Amino acid sequence: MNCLDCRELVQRLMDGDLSAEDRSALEAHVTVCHACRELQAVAKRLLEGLRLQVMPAPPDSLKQRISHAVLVQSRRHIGFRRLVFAGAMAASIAAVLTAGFFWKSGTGKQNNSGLAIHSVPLDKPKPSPSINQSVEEAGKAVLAMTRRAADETVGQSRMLLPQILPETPATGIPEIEPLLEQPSRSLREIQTGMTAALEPVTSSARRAMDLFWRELQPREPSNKRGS
Amino acid sequence: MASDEAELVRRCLRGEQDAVKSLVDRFYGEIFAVCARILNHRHDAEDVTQEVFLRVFRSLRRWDKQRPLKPWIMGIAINRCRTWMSQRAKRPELIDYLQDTAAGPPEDDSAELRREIDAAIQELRADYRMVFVLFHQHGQPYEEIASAMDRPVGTIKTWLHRARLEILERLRLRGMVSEVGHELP
Repeated sequence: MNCLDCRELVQRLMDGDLSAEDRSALEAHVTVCHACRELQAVAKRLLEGLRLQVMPAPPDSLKQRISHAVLVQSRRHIGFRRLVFAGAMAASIAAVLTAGFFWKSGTGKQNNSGLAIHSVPLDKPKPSPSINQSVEEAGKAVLAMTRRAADETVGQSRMLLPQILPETPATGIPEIEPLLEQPSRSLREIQTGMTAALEPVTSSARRAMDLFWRELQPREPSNKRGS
Repeated sequence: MASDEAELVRRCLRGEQDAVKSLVDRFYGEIFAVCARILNHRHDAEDVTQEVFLRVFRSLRRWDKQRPLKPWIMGIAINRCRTWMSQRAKRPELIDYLQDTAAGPPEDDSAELRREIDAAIQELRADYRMVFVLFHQHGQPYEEIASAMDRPVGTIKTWLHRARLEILERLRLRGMVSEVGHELP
């Protein structure tokens, strides 16, 4: 064993973890090494002095002082937690009330604007604030406006129709349909008339062609007879 | 023991005065002794002990029920002592703890030895002093010291060995070892 090993054994001695075998080895080394013997002696003296030491005793009033301070702190802590809880509750209630106020005022504005825009078709106030019902009502309003615009257009067209198509006298064609059928009858009459008018021309042309053909016929047999 | 401590803590959290007093009574003596030995000043130790318990009850909800209560409180005490020492270093010189204590009987050899040991402990750097006090004067195992000081066990062993060697050297120089045999031939 060298001095380094001996110092390690002294540390284990002060740890209270020195086995009998190590103790024998330590004793054997310190008999031949003055420095290690002195170190072992001082270590034993230190352990002896530590055993003689007494634990510092707290004053009698310290326990009461600590308990009082802790209880005061606990009360403050509980009071602070209650204050925080109450504040959070108040803030939550205020937030809910504010949100409700703004919701209600927003709904009122929507009704007013809706009445202004859809004064004719939507004269009833909107009973439901839900989105589905609002969309449904909006659809109905658009449909009503479309129907109204279509009806107005048809009415105006009916009013303008007599001005575009002036009325015919009572002796004339009373309706549009006979006026439209008249050209077809006229064309037939024209066709019949033209056919009748062209009949003499066609018959005269046919007769002229027959005479011409007849005059050409006799010349050809004479020529054949003469040859 | 752990269930007993857990029940005590639960009652303290409910604000029961008896439980608060019981918890203070269980630990305040040892916490005060640790603070007094580390700080070497009784009045400072009283103030720090009170601060320790205020902090303990403030953070009692964060205590791990699976672990014993004492090392957790001891860790808080160590931290408060560190903070106090760093603040005290910035202040003017204070009355020494040994002068602050009441006068005792006339010193004998053992009293001189105790005084020399105390003086040697106070000359240690703060970390070494805390480890030495916790191990030798309060019987804390390495693992609990490591937990309280938030350092590895190996570091705690190293600090303790160095602290011992420094104290032994001082005691040797102060002549605390009078009878050392001669080398054998």
